[in-house]
Amino acid sequence: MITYALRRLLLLGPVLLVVATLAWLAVFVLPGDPARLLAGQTSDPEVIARVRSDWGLDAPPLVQYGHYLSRLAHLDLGRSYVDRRPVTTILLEHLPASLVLAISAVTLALLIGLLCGTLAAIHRGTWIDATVLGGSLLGLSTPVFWLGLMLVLAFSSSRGLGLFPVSGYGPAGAPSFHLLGLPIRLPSPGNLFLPALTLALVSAGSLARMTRAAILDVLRQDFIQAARGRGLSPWRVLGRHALRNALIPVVTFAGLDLAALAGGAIATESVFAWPGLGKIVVRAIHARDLPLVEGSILAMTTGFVLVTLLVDLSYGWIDPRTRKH
Amino acid sequence: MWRRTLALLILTTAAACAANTGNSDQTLRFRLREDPPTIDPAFVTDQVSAAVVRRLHAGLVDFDPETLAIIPRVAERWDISDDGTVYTFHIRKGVLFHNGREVTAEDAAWSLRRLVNPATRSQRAWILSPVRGATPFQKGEAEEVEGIIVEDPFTLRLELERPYAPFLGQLAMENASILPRETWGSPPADPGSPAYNIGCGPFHLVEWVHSNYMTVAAFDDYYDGRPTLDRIIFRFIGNLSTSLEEYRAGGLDVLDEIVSGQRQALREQVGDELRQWPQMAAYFFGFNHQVAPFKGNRALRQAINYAVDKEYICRVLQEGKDIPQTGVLPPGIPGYNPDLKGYPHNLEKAKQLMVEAGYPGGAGLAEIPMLYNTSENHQRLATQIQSDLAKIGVRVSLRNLDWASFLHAVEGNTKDHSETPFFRLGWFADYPDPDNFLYVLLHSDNWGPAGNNSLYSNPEFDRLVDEARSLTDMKDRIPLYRQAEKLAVEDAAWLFLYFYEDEALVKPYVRNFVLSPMGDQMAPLRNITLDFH
Repeated sequence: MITYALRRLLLLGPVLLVVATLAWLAVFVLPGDPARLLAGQTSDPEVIARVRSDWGLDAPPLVQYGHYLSRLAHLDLGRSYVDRRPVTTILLEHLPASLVLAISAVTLALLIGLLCGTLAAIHRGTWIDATVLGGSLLGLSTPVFWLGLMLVLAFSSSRGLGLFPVSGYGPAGAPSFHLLGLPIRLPSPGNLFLPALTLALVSAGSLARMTRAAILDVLRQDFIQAARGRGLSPWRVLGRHALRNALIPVVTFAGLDLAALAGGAIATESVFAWPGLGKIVVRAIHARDLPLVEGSILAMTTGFVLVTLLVDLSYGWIDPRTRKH
Repeated sequence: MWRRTLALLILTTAAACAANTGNSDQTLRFRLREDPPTIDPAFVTDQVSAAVVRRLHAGLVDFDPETLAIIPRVAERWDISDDGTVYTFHIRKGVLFHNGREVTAEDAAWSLRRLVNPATRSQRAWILSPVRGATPFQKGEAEEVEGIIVEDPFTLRLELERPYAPFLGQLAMENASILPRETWGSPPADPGSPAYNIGCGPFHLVEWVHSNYMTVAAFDDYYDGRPTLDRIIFRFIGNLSTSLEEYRAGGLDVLDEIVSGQRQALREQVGDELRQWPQMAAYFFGFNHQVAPFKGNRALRQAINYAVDKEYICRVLQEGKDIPQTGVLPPGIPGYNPDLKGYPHNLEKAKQLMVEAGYPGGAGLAEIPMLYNTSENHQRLATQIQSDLAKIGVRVSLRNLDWASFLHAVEGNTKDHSETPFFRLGWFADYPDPDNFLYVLLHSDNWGPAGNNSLYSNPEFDRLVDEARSLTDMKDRIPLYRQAEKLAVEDAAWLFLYFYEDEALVKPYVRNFVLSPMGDQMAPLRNITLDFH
C-alpha cells in the first residue's frame, strides 16, 4: 500500500510538468495583452511598453517559458499582476473557503444520496423509488446558479423565510486563527448552509442513482443470498454486506466531486459571494493575470491528484479484497 | 407557577425582539462589485479602487461632489501666477496622517515625486507631465523634478512648462493623494495591510479580507472633523441578483448597481429608495475613421447616427435611465451645451444620406462587423442598433469578446491603427473638465490606447482644443471647447448613443447621501448619518 502511494506521488511530478506547460500555453495563446489591461483604459504606448517590460512580457516566448519553469522549480508561483502579491499567498487565502464548502457539500450529498439511494433500492418499484428517481433527475438537470438563487429567495430573502444570510462568509470582524502565518477564517454555519446545500442537491442526484443501482446489483449476488440463508437480519445484510460492497463507485464519484469542488465552485461562489478559489480564477482569467491563472491550475491539479489518490487508497479499507491488487 | 414562567418567557422574548428591531449603529454597508485591484493611490485606474482610496486619502485639492468646482483640501488655498505657470499651495496646518504625524509640504512633494518616479511604475504619472522637469525625470534623464519646490514646511510651489488649464482638476484625482513618506517609502510584503496604507483621509483601513469585505473606520483626528459614520464595510458581491436580495434583506445600506430589467418593478416596490441622477459619462460606438467604409465618408456616419433611435434605447431598453446623447460633453461638466441637438431619430434623412454616401439603400456596402465586450446590456443595445441599421440597408454582424480580447481587437497590434471598423466604447470622466473628453477621446495626439480609439482627426478640432487647454480661465476656454465639440458632432465622430445616469438603491434611514455627477463610488460618505432603523 505504501509503495503504491509513493509511486502515485512520484507520478505527480511529470503530471504537474505537463499541466504546467499546458496552462502556460493556454494563457499564452489567449488573445489580449495583460500589459494593456494593467496600464488602464487610456494609456500612453510608452507606459504599456514599460509595464510589459516590468513583467517580462516582452521576452521571447521560450525565454518566458524558461523563467516560468525555473520559478516553479523553486516552488515560486510568482506574483499576481493585478494585486502584486505572491500567488501562493492568494491561493492559500482562498483555499480554506473552498475546502470547507467542498467538504460540507460532499458530506451533505453523501448523506442525502446514500439515504435516498438505499431507500429506493430497498423499495424498488414503489412510490418511494419513483420519487427518488424523479427527484434525483431534477437535481441532476437543475442549473446550479438557478438552484442557488431559488434557495436564496426561499430561505434568505426578505420575501422568503429569512432564515439564513443571503451571501458572504460571516460577519465582518469575525475572529481568525493563524496557520503557517496566514489568517484562517471559518465561515459561520448560517452562511455555509445554503451554498453547501446547493452543491449537495446537484451531486446527491447522481449519488442516489449510483447507490440505488449498486445496491440492487449487489443484492443479486450469491453471497447476499448466502448471508440471508445464514439467517442474518435484513438490516445486517444491507449494512454489512450490500452497502459496503456498493460503496466503491459511490466513493469514487464523491471523491472526484470533492476534488473538483475544492478547486472552486464558480457559479455557487458567485451567487453566494463566497470567497473561494473559483472567484479568483474567473477574475484572473478576465484580467489576464497569467501567474494567478497558472498557479490556480497547478494548485487544482495537485489537489485533484491527491484526492484521487486518497480515494484509491480508501478502496482497500472499504473492500479488503482490493488490497491484494 | 408554570403560567408565571410562561408569561415571563413571552415578555422577555418580546422585549428582546423589540430591542432587535432597531439599530442605531453608525456602520454603513456599501457594496462593491469586487475587491479593489489596488489601494495604492499611484496605481488607481478604476472606479472600485477609487471608491476605497478616496476614503483613506486626501490630496491638495478636491472636487466639490455636487458642483464639481475645485475646492481646497489639504491645501487651504493656492495662488496661480498671472502667466498661469506657477501654482503655490498653502498647506493647512494641523492636518494629521492616520499615524498622528502632521502633514507638511515635504510630504506633498514626496508623494507627487513618487507618482512620477519611473521606479513607481504608475500608470497615472501623466497627471504631473505638465510640471517642469517631470518628463525628463520620468524618462530617467533627470534626478529631480525641477518644478516641484518646497518653499517652507507649509508651502509647495509647482511650476509648469506652459499654462495648462486642467492641471488643478488632475491634481484632484485620487492618484495625487498625499502620503507619509516614512511608511510608503518601504513597501511591505502585503500592500493591503492597515499598517502600510496610512493616509490623511477621513477613514483609516482596519481590515481587508480578500474576496469578502473591507472595513474602514472613522479617523478621529481628521482635519475637517471626525466623520459622522463610525465605519464603512465594503462588501464585495459581484452577482447583481444576489446584491439586490442582500439589499432587500438588510445586508446592504447602499447598492450601487441594479440588475437590468428590474428598474420598473423596483420603482414600484421601493419608491424613493431608487435614486437616479446624471453622471459625467457617455456611452457610444466608435467608427474607425482610418478604414473603410467610414474613412472619409461623413454622410455614412451621419446616416447611421440618424437611423439609430436613441430615445427608444433610453426609454425602453434602459428602462428610463440615461439621456440621449446630443454631443460629446455630458450634462454637469463645464461647457456642456444644451443647445446641441445631435442626431434625433430620422429614418428619411438617414436614407437620403445613404444615397449621398454612395450606398443607396445599402447597395454596395459590405456587412460591417460590430464589436462589443461581453455584457448583457451591450448585447441588447448592439442588437437594437443592428435592427435599426437594417432599416436603411446597413448590415451589421455582431461580435462579442471578453474585455482583454476586445481591447486587443479595438486597438490592434499594428503601430498605426487597428482594422476594427465599428465598436462599443464608454467613458467616465476622470476629472470634471471638458478637456477630459475632448482632448483625451478625440484629439489626434491620443490615437489608439491613449484614448482616441476612433482615430478621429480634424486639424481644426485639434487647434481649438489646444488653444482652450492653454488658457486658465474657464470662461475663455468654454467657447473654444464648444466650437470643437460642434465640429466633432457635425463630423459624426461617433455613433452618439447616451449620457449615463447613475443609480443607486439607498435605504430611507441613510441621510446625506450625495448624488455626485462623478458617480456614487466617488461621492464622499463621511457626512452620512444613519437614522435609527
